[in-house]
Amino acid sequence: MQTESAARRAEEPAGPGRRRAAGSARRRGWAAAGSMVLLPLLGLAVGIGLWWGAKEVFDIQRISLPYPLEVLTELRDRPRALWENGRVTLWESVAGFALGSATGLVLGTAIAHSRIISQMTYPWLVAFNAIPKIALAPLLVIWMGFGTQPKIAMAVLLCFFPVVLATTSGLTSTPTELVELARSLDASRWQTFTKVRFPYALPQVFVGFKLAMPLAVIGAVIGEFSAGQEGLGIIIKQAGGLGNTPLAFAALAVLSLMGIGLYYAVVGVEWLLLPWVRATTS
Amino acid sequence: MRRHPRFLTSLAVAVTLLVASACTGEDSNNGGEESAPDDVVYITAFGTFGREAYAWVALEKGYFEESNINVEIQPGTGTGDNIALVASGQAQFAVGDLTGVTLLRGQEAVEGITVVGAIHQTALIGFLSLAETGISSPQDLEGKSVADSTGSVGRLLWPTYAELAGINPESVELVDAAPPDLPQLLASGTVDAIGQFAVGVPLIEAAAQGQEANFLAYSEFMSDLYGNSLVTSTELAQNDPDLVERFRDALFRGLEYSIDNPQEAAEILATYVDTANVEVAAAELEIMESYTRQAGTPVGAIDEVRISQTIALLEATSAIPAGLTSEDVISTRLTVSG
Repeated sequence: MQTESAARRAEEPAGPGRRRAAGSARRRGWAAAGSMVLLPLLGLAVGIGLWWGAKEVFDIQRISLPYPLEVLTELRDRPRALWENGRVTLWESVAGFALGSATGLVLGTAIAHSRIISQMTYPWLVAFNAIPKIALAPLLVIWMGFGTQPKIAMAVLLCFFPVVLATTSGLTSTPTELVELARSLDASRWQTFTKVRFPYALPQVFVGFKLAMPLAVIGAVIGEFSAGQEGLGIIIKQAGGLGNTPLAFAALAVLSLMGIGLYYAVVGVEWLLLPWVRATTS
Repeated sequence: MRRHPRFLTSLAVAVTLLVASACTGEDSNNGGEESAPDDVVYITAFGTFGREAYAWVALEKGYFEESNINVEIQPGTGTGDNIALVASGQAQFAVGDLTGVTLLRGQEAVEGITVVGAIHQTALIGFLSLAETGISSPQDLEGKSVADSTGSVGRLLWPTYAELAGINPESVELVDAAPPDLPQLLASGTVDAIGQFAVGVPLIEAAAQGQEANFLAYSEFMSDLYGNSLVTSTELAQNDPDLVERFRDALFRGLEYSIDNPQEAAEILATYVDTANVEVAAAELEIMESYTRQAGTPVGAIDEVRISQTIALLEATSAIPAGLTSEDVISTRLTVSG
């Protein structure tokens, strides 16, 4: 039986016509790739323009909102303060995300497979998720000290719940006919889980990962607000306390870039690991 | 049979020599070699402003090293959090407002901590406003809005200040705000005044792009109040008073050097803290000199009588119940009398 792509190729004209079609497809690919970069840059330029316009029109004080150029100047003049501290926050975010995701996957799997565990833990997970985690930040320092541990812990606390939710939801939404098919082929519970349930749940799990990643960054920064000597959160707090709003905004800009980079890293991993999703969805 | 006595004699001599050399080695270790430095975590009062520079000055000038102490300086987040970290053992020393420490001890909110020195002989708390608001005396606060953090010592002592200054407290709108937000609230005109330290004037003037600031000090009416103090755990004070004294003395050497050399101290701070503003930091230290030094009183000294008077003031305002003594707040053994 022909695959869809083979059938499409069979319909295309042979010879020069096919080459023209192939060239046209490549140009569309380049245009799509270009728009993925150019359009966000255009959006950024529009945003910066509106920011500058608001400063001029409303005469907003520097301490409340700096000029974009002042922020760029800080980015240029304080590489050590921003980029080295950015590396610290990056490490805390990635470590927190990894631990939080692993915890969320395990807990979500347990909840999906056991009604007892689900009923015992789920309401308390929801209650815990409603607690403003920033209130726990000073306690984490008291319990864990001044190193990166309390920041990583805060990142874990913020990011594991979306992964639990997504994993549970994904594992409990496997179509019945697929599970029955596996059962009819004498698959064990483990085989059913690894070959049917978990792969089917992966798109949902990655939704959880994509929600969790920015939350891990936020958690790391909240932890840095509470204590420590390094990290973009420290820069934001110190600069704000000194009224150096351009520097605080510059740190926020680096944080935003980091958040974008990490989010699209997760998107990239999803693209690599789940090729069948692209092929079977529109 | 004749070999046995010789063998035993040889063995006895060898054992004696071994024991003697071990004892000698131990003695020579105590007398000749330095013991490993003590590792200490010290927490500043709040952040890394110029007023905190003395700790980094003590570090840079080698005062801690001379006292065989290896210090890790951590930015603090206020009296409550700071002394909680000392009480929990995560830090050995921290800076806290002495009145704030007295309040917390009186309310039995914390135990296991004690004060071993005064950073500021006079309280720095007060109200800061920009000149354009026209607040130049306490009575000018009536009808105005004042922002301060909820748990601050200034907020807790506000009723007493209002009574002593002859202000109707109901006529002043009190706004709660986090300490880092206060400069922006004032500079943007959202509030008319903020609770601040006297040393915060240069920072506010810089944030307000050169506008002049006025400061109304609590010490005008409450002169017995101390400012910041050096806090340690009672466990460390009892088990290793030598370490406490060495650290206290090294830190206060840094404090004296800083107020005598504010520009250099600010530059030292900037080498350790990326975000430090040298000009503002130096100005803070210049202001701090008159609060840190008092004629006839060594830097860091504490007068037990003033502590008792502070306790009496807090009891009179019902901020704490009766019964607290000065020994509950300061270590009379480890503080320098002033």
